[in-house]
Amino acid sequence: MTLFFEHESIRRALHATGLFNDQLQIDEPPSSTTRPVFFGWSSKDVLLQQPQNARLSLPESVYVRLPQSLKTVQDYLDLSLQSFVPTEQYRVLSVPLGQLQSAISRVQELTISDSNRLASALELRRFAREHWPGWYEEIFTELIRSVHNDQIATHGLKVVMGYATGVAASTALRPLTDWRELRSKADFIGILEDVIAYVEQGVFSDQDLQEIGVTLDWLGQLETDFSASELALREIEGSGFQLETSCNGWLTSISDSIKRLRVLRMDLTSSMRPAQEAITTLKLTLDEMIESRDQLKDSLARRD
Amino acid sequence: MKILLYDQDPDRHKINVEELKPIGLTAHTPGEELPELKYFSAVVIHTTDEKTYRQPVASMAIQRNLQVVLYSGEYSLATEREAELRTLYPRAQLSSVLVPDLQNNIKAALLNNDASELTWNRLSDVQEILSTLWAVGLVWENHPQPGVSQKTDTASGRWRSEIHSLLTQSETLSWRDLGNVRTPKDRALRDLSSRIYGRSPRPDKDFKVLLVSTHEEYYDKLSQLRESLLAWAQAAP
Repeated sequence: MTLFFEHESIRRALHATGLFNDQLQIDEPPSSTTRPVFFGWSSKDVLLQQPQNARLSLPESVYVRLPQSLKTVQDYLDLSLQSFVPTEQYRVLSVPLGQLQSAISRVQELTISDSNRLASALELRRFAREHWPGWYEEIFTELIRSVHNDQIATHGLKVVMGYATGVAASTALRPLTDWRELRSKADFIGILEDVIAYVEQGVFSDQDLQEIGVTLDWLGQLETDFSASELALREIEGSGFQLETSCNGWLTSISDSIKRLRVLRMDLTSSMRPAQEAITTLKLTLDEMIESRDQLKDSLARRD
Repeated sequence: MKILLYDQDPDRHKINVEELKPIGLTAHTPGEELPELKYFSAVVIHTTDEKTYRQPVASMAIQRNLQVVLYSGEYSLATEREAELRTLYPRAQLSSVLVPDLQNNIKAALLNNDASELTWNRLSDVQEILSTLWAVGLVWENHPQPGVSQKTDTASGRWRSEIHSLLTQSETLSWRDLGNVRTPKDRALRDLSSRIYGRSPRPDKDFKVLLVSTHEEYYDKLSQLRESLLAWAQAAP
């Protein structure tokens, strides 16, 4: 079943009925294969102001406004077991990037007299803060200010539409760029570089490495961050958005560096040359990613 | 948990420092040397004072990963400052609150040892209330009486469900018992509702509409209460 709850407490209330429990398989969009059923307290119009609920606008989604009787709830839970083939539009609206674009289109269609415009603008900013912190703050704050002044600043929205995929990709890569920018992670790479240099210069022997306890345990964390970034990028691509070709190149390069470092982790007495090369490649790739992200930020700030 | 308050005149913002001090609030006088921030979980800042005294207390607190709450007599001044800080510190735990909520928010955070209480999410509280009340109706449908299904640990170590009836002798729901029902977050409905109805403006309907004698009627009244509570929560900035 594919169930959505406007608030976690609704799931808990359903537990009390005994009709629903945690053992039931909940499908995760966009790959869900059962009919999506939403349970909520707000009106559908209000829910649609929140970008994450964009799928509610599709005919295949079912909305159940509470309170409902036990029998009605049972009927809807049965409905949520029906098989369902997600449409292209459903897949697009299942990822934050698609939800953002859909919400912006809705706001662009609002007129000055529309009473929903302030709530929609506030929801847009909240949603952007949650998924792409720091990227759209100025643009959406300007939008909210314009709504207060009985206008709708649409130029900024067009800019967001143009940069949204790039920003989503940059955000997806953040766990990796942290390995250059976050001291707690970057230090691991720096220390390894120093150690390799000392070994190359003959200051440390292989024996010394083991005695001083040099480990590459942090490689596991880098692998986890790599997987998280890769998964996030694949999710964007899988929902029909076109990523810059450089993204795949970066992933290949980092994956290759990780593989080479893994060999060193298994055997600290192995040759340091491939490890040195892996570290150099890793740093260069991460720097490229950061440079590309900073250029994107500059362009967005200029509203190019 | 300890919270630092940065305000020249807390009384003017309806913050009773004397009441909150014994449970963990430290009031700081702007302009004087700041205490060590590492001893606090959160900092509550009057944005106008921060600007006047040119003490970047919000930035300093964010850099220490503390939760920062901003307020101002004019709410938009706090939200503007919040937007400014978010551009500089995208990952900051930052929020703006309304002045009339400050006292209750700080108190709830200190008493529950939960810094997230500093920002009162009205809509979330309303949803928690409505879902809890709905669960009472669902139990009523399945049993002769309205009640709360609670899982209790039996002597055998197994869990079983128990229904506690909420009917009075006159066969209608009892507000006193309903108020004692606990939400999924283990908060009494009475506590949640008193925070809502203690505010002005308040919702135009209260729980008394639910004091009925059949579950059909109960659902109908719950729908009316839903409209009233949601309209109130959604109207807040």
